[in-house]
Amino acid sequence: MNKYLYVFRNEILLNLTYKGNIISSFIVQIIQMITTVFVWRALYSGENDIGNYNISEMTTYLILTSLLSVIFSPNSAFRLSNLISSGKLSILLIRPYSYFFESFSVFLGQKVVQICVVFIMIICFFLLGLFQFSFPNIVSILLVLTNFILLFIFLSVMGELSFWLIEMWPLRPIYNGLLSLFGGVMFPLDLLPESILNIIQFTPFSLFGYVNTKAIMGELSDDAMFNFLIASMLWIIFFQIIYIILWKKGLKKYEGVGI
Amino acid sequence: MISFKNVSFSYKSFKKQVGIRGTLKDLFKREHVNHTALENITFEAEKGEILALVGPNGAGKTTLIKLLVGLIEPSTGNIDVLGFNPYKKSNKYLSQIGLVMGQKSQLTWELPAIDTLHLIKAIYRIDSKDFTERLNYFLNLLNLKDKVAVPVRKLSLGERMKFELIASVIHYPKLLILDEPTIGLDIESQRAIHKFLLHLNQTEKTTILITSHYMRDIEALAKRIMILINGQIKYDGDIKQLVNTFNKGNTIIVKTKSELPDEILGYKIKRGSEENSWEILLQAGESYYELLSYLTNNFQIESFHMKETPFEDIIFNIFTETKESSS
Amino acid sequence: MFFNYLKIVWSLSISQFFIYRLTSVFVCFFGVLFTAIEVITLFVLYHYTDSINGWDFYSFLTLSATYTLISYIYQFFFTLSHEKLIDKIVEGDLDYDLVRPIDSQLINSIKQLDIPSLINIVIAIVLLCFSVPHVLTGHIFGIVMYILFVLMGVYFYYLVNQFFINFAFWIERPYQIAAIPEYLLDIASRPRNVYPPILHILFVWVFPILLSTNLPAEILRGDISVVTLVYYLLFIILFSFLVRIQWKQALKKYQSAN
Repeated sequence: MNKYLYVFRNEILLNLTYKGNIISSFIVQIIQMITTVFVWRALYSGENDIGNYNISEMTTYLILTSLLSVIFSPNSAFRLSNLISSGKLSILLIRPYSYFFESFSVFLGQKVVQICVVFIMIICFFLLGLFQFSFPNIVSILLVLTNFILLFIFLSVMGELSFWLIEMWPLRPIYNGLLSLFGGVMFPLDLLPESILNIIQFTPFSLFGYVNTKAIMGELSDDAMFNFLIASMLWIIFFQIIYIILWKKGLKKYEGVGI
Repeated sequence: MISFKNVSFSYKSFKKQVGIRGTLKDLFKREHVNHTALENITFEAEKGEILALVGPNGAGKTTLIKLLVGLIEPSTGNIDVLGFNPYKKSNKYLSQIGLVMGQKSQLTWELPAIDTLHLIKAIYRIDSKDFTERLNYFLNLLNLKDKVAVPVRKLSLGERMKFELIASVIHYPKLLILDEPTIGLDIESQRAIHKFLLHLNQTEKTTILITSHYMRDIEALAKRIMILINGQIKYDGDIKQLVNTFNKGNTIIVKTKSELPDEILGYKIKRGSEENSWEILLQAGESYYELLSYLTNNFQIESFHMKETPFEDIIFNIFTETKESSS
Repeated sequence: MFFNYLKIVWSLSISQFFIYRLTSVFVCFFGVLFTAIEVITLFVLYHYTDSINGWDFYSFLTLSATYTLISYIYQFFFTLSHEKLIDKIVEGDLDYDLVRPIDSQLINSIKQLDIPSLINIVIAIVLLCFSVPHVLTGHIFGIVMYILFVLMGVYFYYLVNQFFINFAFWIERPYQIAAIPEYLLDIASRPRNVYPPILHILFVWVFPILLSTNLPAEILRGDISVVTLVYYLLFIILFSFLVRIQWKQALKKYQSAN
């Protein structure tokens, strides 16, 4: 079996030993979701629409962004910092494989478990009558996958900051705050005035939350999807370049410590 | 196999200023300090050799190991290991070395060791049949048969270390580097590890480089010892020769029925720990026959025996001597 | 005596604060960030309506600020001590606190004050200064009652935390359970009548966490239901006794386990 496949497999096994953590992170997310969903539902009396959303679309939107924000959480960004502080990065560096692909396999391993839980949750919400199914087309699946890759590269770059920062933890609340605001977790971004929407909808956070959700709900026009796809790819290229530069510099810095 | 030629390693570190004003100053202009971790290191090692690297903390042992595995680049000088420049970290090179760090684990804490071993099998592209045979062989040798499916966190420190060893040698490394492999282990596990390493060295001609603070490890394993102090090689050669060169002398303990004078034949006599026991320091290489015959002729002797200075004390003396002379 | 103790705790916390001042700056920043997100969300919500189940913009803002206030007053006084307490229970490290001539529950609840929370308390008060004039219907007495019930809310929230932390005496991995109160209080950051009946009954009449934040805001608006008020107060009194008994039992367990 391929070496990266083994990294992937072991990461899944590892995540399964932490069932409690995964379940509790979803419970937290669901409680926060409850606080948003019911406030928004209280705004509907009778058959009115808010923006372009009727009550069941709004509910579906809020449930989806909320569940997606577990998958698009910043956790993977803190792996490198742990490896550095425990010194285990050295062990990974002297193995005959690429750290970048190794960490991608780890990332996938973590996400597979989370994605499975999200699917189960969606089915539960569907059975409760709170979720509206729609069948996404190929382009929207492609868009979500591209955003998923962007997430990995974005978090990798964030993680590389641990070569320079002593305290990494403040990045977590900053990321979460930006995701809940620009990612449209608190409210759909298209409720904002168009001028503001145009600025923030192409940020990575919007792509992670708002755009993914709209794509899965099948509510984006072909034109819009194409634009987001281009934006997402450009971000990937941009962050990939940053990643490579920071990796070289960071490794030089890492080599200097602990002698 | 290993060749270091005039290798030095130095690094810069920034002086951190104190307080808010200092932090602001740091933003614009930072003072840096140059540290030399290794200075002009030259040595070679042959295939199948077991080489022990000792030295006080901060002497540069870890730096040397990092250079050897290619984690850092030498500031000056050349390193050639197995025909490679380690810093290039080519997969071909990395596949031929194994590293054990006593304080850092490569096993996944929550999973059984077998999962990490399978991962390593894939990384180093070991043939399945070969892997199974070799693993079973090692498990038998180290008595780990029924531990292979136990999560690592439930293993004892000794068992964990044995698995670390297996994980580092399962891919037939030509060079095995061990950094403090026995730290915190009980004697039984230490012996098992010694036995295993010697066995590996004999059957596979694995070259082994080991650092340890336990002189027991060094004595049990290595013929050749390299002493590193303040980034320089202070001694490189045979252990036995080291003992002969640096042993200042052995102590003779005499038990008598009566008092001894302060001096006999020019030897100073010290009172021992027990009643009527005496200690006499004999210079290395000096014969004790004359002393013995003088004592037996003039006093009533109950016992007479020579206490060799332990290896550990000899090394300790070398360390402290160098420190004193440098300060 | 207790006042002197508090004074010493205060000065110790101040010096801690200066050691970790960078962390403190971050905490302040996050306080501002999350308040901003909350206010922006309210703006968006009230762009589409004037009233959510009878709550207008200013009364919702008052509720949000009340939630922040209760949450951070608790944090200021108790959170650091409670975190330490869990570690101590897990590591069996309580012995010193049991031989001191001061109540063991009290000493383990106030050991170190979380100074950065003060900033968040100030932010909440600023928001209240802005929103309360639009909400207040009764006379000045309403404000006194409000302050009283905010403090009651803090006390209730303290009890809830203490209640879940005490489980650490019986459970091996208590950290996830100890985080439950925070999420319960999250639910209370919203008007209670937006929730469906099941949740409403659960969090008002079974375990009145919703009342801890909603009652003070409702008092300012002038709709006071005596039944709810009395029930809330009775619940807190009973819950205090329950937590006290639980603590005594826990200590018995701890001492016998030694």
